[in-house]
Amino acid sequence: MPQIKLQSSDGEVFPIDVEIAKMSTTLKTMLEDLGMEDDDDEIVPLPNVNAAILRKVLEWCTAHRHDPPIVDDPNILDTRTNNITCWDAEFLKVDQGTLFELILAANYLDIRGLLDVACKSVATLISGKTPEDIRKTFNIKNDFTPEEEEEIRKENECCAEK
Amino acid sequence: MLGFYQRPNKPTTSNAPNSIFSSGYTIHIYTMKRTNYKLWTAGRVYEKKPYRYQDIDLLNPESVFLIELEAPFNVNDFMLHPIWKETDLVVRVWATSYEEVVPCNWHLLYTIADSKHSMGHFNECPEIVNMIRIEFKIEFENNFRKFVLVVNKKLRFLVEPLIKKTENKIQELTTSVVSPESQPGINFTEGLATEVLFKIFDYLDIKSLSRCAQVNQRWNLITKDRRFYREVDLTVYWNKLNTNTLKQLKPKLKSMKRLDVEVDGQFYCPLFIYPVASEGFHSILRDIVEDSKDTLIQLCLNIPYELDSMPEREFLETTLSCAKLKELRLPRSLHGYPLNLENCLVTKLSIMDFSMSGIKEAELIIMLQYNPDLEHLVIDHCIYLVYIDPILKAVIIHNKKLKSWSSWKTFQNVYDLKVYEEFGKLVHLEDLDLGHCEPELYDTDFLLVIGSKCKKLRRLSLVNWGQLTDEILLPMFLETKEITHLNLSNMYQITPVIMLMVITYLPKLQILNVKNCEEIYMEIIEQYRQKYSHVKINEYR
Repeated sequence: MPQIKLQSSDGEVFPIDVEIAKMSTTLKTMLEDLGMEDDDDEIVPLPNVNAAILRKVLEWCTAHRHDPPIVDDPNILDTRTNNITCWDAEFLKVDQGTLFELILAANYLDIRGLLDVACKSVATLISGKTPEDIRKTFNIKNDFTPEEEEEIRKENECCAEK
Repeated sequence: MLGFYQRPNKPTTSNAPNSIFSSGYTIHIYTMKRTNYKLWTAGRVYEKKPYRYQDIDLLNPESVFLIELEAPFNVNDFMLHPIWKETDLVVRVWATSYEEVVPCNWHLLYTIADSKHSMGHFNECPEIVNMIRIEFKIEFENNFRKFVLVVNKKLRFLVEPLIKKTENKIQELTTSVVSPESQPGINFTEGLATEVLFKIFDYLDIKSLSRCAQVNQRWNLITKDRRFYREVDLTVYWNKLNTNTLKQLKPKLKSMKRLDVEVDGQFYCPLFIYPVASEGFHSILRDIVEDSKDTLIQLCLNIPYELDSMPEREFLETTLSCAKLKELRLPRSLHGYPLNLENCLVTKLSIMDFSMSGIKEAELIIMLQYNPDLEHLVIDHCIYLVYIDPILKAVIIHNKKLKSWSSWKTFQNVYDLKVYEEFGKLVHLEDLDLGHCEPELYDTDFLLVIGSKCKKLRRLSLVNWGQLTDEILLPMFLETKEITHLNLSNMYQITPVIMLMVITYLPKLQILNVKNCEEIYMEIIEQYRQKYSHVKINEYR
């Protein structure tokens, strides 16, 4: 199995199977464009991903390497959040910082499955909460003026009703 | 819907089996998938997962209903009983155990996932819970007072002397077990690209979006994007959907592809007090549909007939002008006004659902004619459809691609015995639900004909065909090798022999229902379950 080496932002090098690397569309495109497949010694630097997160990402990719590719049905959007598999749910039992860093990494590396499931996981944290609870959960600052807030509340009160 | 009721005095066993909930959780969560044309009780695809908090809390129940009993009870004597057939809003039932010391642990007794759309054919009490309990906590997906009252009534009616306290309050239980802990001070969402936030918001329903809009400037701006309002599910509001909600939503709801407003359940639940639609409700809803009539692909609406009957006519006209529709569901509608089919532009339907509606035979036949690509037809419980032959004939002429037919409880008096043989002409048929449509007499081999012609048949329901016997059924199952789901409930004459036969002859069988079959005792079912574990027998989900 051909391998390539990924280097995290803090300098750690991860040798991985090309097959797994290709789950990242970013890496796949790069490998194909640069014809790097045969060159084992090349190290791919990933300046946006630290070692801890990269390890998590690779763990996910390894577990999901046999997943069928995601095919979008243009007519039906998958908006369900209760179809996270057990493995993924366990995998995503992490603190918020890690969860969001995983999202950033998945987005940067363009790993569709991981991005989807991590976003779902964040959506479940939002769902069912009041605006104030959402702010508390994510430490978001309320930057509305009182007038704006009142206006927006009025705009949404019926739709946001519990 | 669930309620509790106490079974008549049955001696309580002192050595009640150790609850599976007491230690080492082995609870299973059933995730149901909505088949895209119809909700077959037996046809639901489901998967089992070991119980874990994070799976459960994806449900985000919003309301909790607490019942405290005066004395400890052996829960073996309680059943969770569906009194509400339309909308299972109960998400989970928790209980404390009498034996445990304070602080008590809440044990999960019952959970139901993704049940919002379940519209099912419940036949029997689904779950028996064992172990002694003193408190129950019922979580609802929606905080809906009227609904809670219904449960309350039911509970009072059934177990009144035992209830010391009922309480309806928002409980923090959910948030306490949600996994990722927030870290003080850091707002990680700031670092996310807008496109990623878009992706996250894609998974939120319209109610959550309206709450997100109130969080801060950035989120407010993002939630205004049209992309979130292409596929709109208004069932999240359930019966709280009113004129004001629609008024607020209307500007956002343009060029939708999908709209689901299938709310209420008046048909089955006499206890339920149906709220009077607020003034202008239907005309706004009509305008909303009108705004998207050139884009809508899926439309699911029901129009309570006793209200606002004038707009219903306009409403139906608007609906029939949505030329791109592929899926149209109008359950419980058409009781006031007939379909005006003169200007009907709906001709591309793949899914047509008129269950519990007042559709007339002539109207249905015209709709069938107009939609040659129809694949799924649902006409359950249509009171004005009396004869099956003209409809079946129309389908055979016009809808050769039909894959599923469901006429549960619609044609209850079938005299022409040859009619059912006609199903054999629908060679693409995969699903056939003829529950409660038993013909008067059997003197033909129509089942064999169906079996030998419909080679793709996967799901078959013949509920309440009381005259069927093993001998009549068997030849059919020698022909249909693709069957995965089989429902033979309420057949009084069949015996365990047929169970053995279908399990042996149908290599792909996954689900077999033989509920209320007098000859088939619980013990036999248990034996079969153990012996043939690949087939799920009489499983509620």
